[in-house]
Amino acid sequence: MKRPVPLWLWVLFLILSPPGKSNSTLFAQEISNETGFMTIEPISFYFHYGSYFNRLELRSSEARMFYSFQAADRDPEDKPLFVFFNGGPASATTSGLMSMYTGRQTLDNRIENGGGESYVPNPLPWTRLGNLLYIDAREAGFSYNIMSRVSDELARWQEFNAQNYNPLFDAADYLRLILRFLARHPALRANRVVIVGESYGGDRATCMLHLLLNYADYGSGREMFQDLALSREIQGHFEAVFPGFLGRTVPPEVIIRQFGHQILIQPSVPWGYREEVTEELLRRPGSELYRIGAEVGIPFRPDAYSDRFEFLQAAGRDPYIYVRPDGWLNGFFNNAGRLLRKISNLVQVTGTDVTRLAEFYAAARTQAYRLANPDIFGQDEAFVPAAVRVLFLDPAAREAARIQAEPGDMTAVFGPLQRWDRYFLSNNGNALYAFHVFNVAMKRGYEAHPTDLRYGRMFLKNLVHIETFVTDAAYDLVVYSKAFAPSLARYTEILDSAHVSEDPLGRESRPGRVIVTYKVNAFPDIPAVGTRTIRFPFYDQSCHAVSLTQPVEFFLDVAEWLRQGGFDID
Amino acid sequence: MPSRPTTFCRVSRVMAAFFLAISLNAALQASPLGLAGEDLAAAPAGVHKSPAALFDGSRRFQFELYGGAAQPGLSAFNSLVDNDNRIQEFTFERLLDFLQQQGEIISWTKNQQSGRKKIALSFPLGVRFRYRLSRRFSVSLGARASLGRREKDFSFEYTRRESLNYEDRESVKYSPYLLSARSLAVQAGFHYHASVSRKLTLEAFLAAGPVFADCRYSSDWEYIWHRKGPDMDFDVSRMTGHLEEMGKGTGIAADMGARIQYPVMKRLALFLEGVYSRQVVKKITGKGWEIRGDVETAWEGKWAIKKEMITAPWGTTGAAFPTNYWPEGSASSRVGDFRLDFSGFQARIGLCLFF
Repeated sequence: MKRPVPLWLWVLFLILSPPGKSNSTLFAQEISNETGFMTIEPISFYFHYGSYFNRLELRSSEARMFYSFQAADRDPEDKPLFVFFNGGPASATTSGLMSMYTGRQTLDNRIENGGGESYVPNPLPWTRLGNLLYIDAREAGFSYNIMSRVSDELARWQEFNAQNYNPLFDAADYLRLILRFLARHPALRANRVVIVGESYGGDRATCMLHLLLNYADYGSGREMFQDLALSREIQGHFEAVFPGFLGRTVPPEVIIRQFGHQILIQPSVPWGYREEVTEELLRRPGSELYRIGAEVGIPFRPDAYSDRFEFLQAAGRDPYIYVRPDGWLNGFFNNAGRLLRKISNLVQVTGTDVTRLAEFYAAARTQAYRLANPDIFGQDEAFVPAAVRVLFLDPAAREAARIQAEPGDMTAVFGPLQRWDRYFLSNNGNALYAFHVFNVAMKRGYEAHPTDLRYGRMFLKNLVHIETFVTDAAYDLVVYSKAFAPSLARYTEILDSAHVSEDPLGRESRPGRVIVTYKVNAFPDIPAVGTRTIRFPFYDQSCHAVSLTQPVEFFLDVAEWLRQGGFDID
Repeated sequence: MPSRPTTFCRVSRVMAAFFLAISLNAALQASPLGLAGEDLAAAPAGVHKSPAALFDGSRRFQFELYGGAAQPGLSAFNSLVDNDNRIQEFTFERLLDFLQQQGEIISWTKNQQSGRKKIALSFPLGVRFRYRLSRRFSVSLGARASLGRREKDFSFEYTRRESLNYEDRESVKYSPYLLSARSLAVQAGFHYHASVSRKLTLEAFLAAGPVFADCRYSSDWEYIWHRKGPDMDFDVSRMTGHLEEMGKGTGIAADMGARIQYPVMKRLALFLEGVYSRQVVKKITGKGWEIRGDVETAWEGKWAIKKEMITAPWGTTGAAFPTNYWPEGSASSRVGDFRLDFSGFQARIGLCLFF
């Protein structure tokens, strides 16, 4: 009679056998908090308007993009992945959404002037809803670029141009990071993904989703922006997630099973028409600007100010929250940036030991650059649009000065950096300049600025497929919520109408929807769209950063909206 | 089903026909009927000899060498120049007009040295081997190469001025910009000649045979964007590139011409020919490659006419031009076949050696 195999031998066999489907549960990769840098190799891409041999060919720097992943509180492998990013463009997410009542740690919104001297536990973290992935854009936050002739100042200036900064390539960066992150985490690879973008993040989300839903067109010459490598990478991802589409283009109806929802916090999109409508509405008697003028004793006269930013600066009010003094919201961003330059705070916020990340160390970044010329942070002020200067360049310059005063302890731990490198930047002034003021794609006539009307059209095309949640913040004059629906309605070649409905649905605490009615044949490739609805709840105490000023209400609305969308978040 | 004759077959047939004609002529002369016509050496003594009669019957062979100039059609191939000029006008001048209207720039200027050139002339160079069948008729076999080529270095520069003394200068330097079309025709001919004076001979002839052709569209360029302002003065963007499209094909060449000939030595004559040559090559395929910055692309394809529409915020432009670049999904932009058409009038001058 044979002797039974001893138990210890079975255990040894199981330990030594390679993980496979049969024992995937036993060997499933543990999903836990993770922080890292994702390398995005130099990418060749181009812009064209239909003539291949007359395209604008560009090649990016290598990027090391910083990300922080916080696993869901329960059953992370079954939960959606929320991908967070702030705007700018070139503004940090780590000092934005990651520090403002979404993750497990947060600044304290009860403490004026920046949220306090330390992070505090968030009573209602979004980890209750799912997994969180925060991403710092190229050259923003902790992300940095690599180049060969890094000590050559002119060569560094040349990198702050369209090959690294334009709305579509910026979105492509994010998609590359997300797809690679999912590929590295098989347990999450097919999970639903919810895009959460704030401010310019609305434009970024628009570009990302348009790239995803129409990915074949971005490699076949049909779209203005062509990134063949990305198109192939997306195909590879979808073939893994939807095996039935091996070698075939995956249609939007299938793609939205994974990427079907977006949450946009005070999105700048559709920026072009929104700016027009905002200025029109705010110049009407009785607008917020007139009320502010009456409060501060500086009457608002439309003919005296080129735009609202000039007036708000004169009135000393924060354009992001007009009931507060100028700089109130940036105080939080800058304070977060200051705190995050201390390793203990970064460890606390990310829930990971960041000192294990080789990419942080000076030895690994001898070819890294963050700034063209560290002595000239901003640009000629008169040349830069007032909004860019007031919203980004001035705060960036103030932050730069603050870094000098409070450098944090990263230099002590990771080593001293080259003069043109930085551990952290809330806003990258050079990158902003390349996005907003000068890049060769823009100047060569390509629609490579987020105010171009193309991006609104892309948003409306995405909306046909994507369930959308947009915040309506009462005090935000940078992204003026009252202009949202009217600015969409200006796309008369696509829409019959866009209007706000306040009718509550069910037991909603904060009703609000934008009803968008499409023209027949609005898009040649999509038959009879009809009507789409955007969830548009009103936050009566909120600034631009809704998660900071009304975190509980925002969280509850999102949770309810996701439940209605069939998400398993409980 | 019979297969299509190859080029080699066609050439073989022409040559076989030529030698058959020589053999037939020799046989006929040997026959009692003398169907080949008068005896070349039969002119009575003392009678005025025509130039054709300068040569006795033992010198039936002629070797000819000629060169000349031609005005080839090549309009489809030359349309590449029109297309490149159109793109330049659209992507610079119309864009800059648009930006000026939008208030984004204050003004702009253009400075261009020379420009792209079309192939207006080609230069045939040929040899011909002839056999006189009789005083009036001869047959020939010859080969003629023809080269049309325009190679030009040129540059242009657009300067735009913005507010606050910012100035952007975009310059493109082509070194060179090249169009080239070559053909090699192998032809069998039939010639009729008649004397018009003591020394001058007039001749009419027909010739036909296969033509082998190739074409090449190539450019090397350097693009520089220089930005100058109160706080900057440097090249913000700089790129070099190379574009090349090549093609080869075969077709039929048929010549119809007239010639005047004048003897300069006992065995040597000078001749002038005026010829209309029809040479059309239809199926042209070849390689292409492009280097643009760090990006290299290579392809191989059949030349055809592509219709390209450029739609930009400042307008729309469209044109049809030949190319062999047909990436996946571009078939719908093909609007016609491309023919490398060398047809046109040729003026030739040559020397003829009798032996």
